Amino acid sequence: MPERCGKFNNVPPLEAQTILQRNHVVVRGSGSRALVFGHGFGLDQTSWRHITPAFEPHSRVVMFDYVGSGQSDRSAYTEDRYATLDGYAQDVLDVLGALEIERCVFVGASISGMIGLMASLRAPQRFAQLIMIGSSSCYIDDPPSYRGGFSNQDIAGLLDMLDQNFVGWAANIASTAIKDPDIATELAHGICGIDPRVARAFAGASFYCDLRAQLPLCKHPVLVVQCQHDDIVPNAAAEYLAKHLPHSRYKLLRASGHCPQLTHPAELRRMISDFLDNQPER
Amino acid sequence: MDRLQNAPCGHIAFADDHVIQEINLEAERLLGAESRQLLGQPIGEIFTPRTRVFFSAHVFPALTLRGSVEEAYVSLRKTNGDELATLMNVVRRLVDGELLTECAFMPMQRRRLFEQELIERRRAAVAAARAEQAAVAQLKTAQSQLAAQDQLASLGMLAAGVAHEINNPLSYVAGNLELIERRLQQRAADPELQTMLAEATQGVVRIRDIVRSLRRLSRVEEADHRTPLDVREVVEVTARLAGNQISHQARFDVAVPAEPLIVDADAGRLGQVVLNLLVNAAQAVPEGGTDNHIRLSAKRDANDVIIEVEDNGPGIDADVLSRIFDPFYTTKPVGLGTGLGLSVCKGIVAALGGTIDVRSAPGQGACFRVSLPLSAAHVAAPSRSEPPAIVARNAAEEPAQASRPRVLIIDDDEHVTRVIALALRQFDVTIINRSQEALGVLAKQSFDVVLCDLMMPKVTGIDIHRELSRTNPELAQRMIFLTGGSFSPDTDAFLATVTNPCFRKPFPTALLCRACTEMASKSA
Repeated sequence: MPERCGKFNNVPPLEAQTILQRNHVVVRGSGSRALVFGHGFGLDQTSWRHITPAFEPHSRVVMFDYVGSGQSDRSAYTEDRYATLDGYAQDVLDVLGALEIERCVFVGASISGMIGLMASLRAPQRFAQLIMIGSSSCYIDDPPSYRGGFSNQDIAGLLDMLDQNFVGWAANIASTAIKDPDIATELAHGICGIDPRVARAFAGASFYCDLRAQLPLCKHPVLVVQCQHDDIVPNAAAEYLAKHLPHSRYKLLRASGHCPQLTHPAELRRMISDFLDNQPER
Repeated sequence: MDRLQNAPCGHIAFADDHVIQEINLEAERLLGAESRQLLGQPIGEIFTPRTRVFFSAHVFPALTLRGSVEEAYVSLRKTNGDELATLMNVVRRLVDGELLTECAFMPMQRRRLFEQELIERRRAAVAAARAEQAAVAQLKTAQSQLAAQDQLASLGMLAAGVAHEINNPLSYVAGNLELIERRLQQRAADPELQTMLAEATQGVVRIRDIVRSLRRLSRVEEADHRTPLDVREVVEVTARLAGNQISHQARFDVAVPAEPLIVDADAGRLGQVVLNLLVNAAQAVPEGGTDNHIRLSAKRDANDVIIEVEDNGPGIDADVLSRIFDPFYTTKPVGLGTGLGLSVCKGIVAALGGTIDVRSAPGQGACFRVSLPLSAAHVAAPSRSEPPAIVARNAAEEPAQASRPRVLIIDDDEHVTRVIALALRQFDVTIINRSQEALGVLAKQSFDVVLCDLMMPKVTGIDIHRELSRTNPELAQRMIFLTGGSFSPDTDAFLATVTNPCFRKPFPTALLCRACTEMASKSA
């Protein structure tokens, strides 16, 4: 049975099969260790394609799409549930429950690192270790002591930009659809792995989140991976994250950008392996 | 290459190290940059913060999957800090063995304004649709609430009618039972017969209580009649009304102090408030819970009287708490609310010059607290539903047969007059069943006490009192009124102006007997 906790206590548990379809869950490989990969904002599980094959020989590798992203069941998306990261954390716990995974290593890219943290605080027994890649506990500056990299105005501007691009997409899809309906559907779903209508809400939930107060509550070993020249998360924010998680290791990756899983897969795979090899088997 | 440098669009290329490797003249011109000023700079230099996020989260992942992105709207940062809205096509491909990201862009300031307007209109349309939905939902709630209130009003009228119809026959059933009991006491009676009689009497008392409660309910919709009243009585009556239902749901405690708690209020309306709070509490505690507890209490606090209804249910969330007294706000499914929500309670309490508030937190139960100012009068009011104060003065027992006081009984119901006459055998009793004859008889004969029904066809008790006040004011003071219980604003107003006792049918005949003795003693 899936775990049920937090604010969705009173929702009747879903059938495991329904959850596996809803979140387009893909399980590969085998082994006593379960590695669960959570994708970042704007991406979907295909963003892990250069990372996961290396772990399949010795681990059970689980990938999924958050509701509203990738090939998830978009009819399961409700504004209420996904208005905050709570709903996304519940997606993680639902998937673990549906697969009857008792204990996992959760690998989260970007905001998924925080989603994994929230899930682990709700159901600590389900998690052995956490790996956070390019994650930040707060994206907005809180002067004088905290630098998140953005102002409130920046984030409001981002939400506007998502709207603006939605207009462009809509026009693009409409004109293409006349010529080839199949391509139009693929465009709508595939252009960036996220439904433009969902994007705005997901971005709001992600970039306005502030989990700094929760960091000291984390009881699990955590690997914090930060790209040296990340264009979203300043190194100071990643260092803050690592410093305030009680059992963390901080690794700086010689890379630019925010998606090392796509641009620097070999280096990232090595960091993950090193971390796992130095952890006691469950 | 010159053609690219001067092409009518900006062109920039960078590798995965995010360092600008190529930039054409048009791009430099659009960004207001000096020649080659941006070459070798991080691409982040010309991205606004939101473009950085959008590029990483949307454009770049799409590039790695499909190699190209078309028609992305992105804003760039000019060297003077201004923003430049652009439409951008991006490709990512191998150039000389290195993965290069190439962007071609053109300004779209005017188009952006147009699209911004489209977005604003779409937002306005969505907001309007949501507002309309909310308005429709609110209207539905209001309609169902009105329907529930209508239902309650009809119930109140029905209750008043039933109470009136029952009270008259009940008064002579009760009276006759009392007389039978008295006779049985005078002879060696069959004990079985006495048990039967006691049970019948118990039944009558219960019917009387039920009818009294109905009457309280029926007064809900009446105009506000504020009189000094004892809150303890309201609490007890309401507890009796709701007690049966609540005791299935929870342990139910009622606590009132020994001294009276007098406030200026309308008993029916205050009762309605307490009843509503009790029903809410009963609905709040978990169904079938074994540890449920509801407590109703009244107490004095300085110059206020406090009524509290506490439950140990799941408590109330902060967001609900802040709106709990708002009109139309409900957490119950449509149709399950009483239609007399907490907003109505608040309105009634406010009209009485009091306040209502609630203390609660999730998991902490809830305590609703009504605070009313203590009556300025500060004294116990003569309560019409209970025997009049005059009775309490421990009147002398039945007077000697020699000087039998003369009592006139005026009531249009012969059964009622017969049972009263039987009960008042120690008096010299005259009976009038047609009230229009009463004034003629009163003009010719003298009486010590006049027992008079208030509501009678043609000539009412009020009419008789008014006439008597003119012709024989002393006797008008020695009138005792009887009523079947259907109070109209007229009778209420009338009773408020006189000091005469008023008995509600059915009443214990012994009390009436004492009242008559007391009244007669005032007769010269």
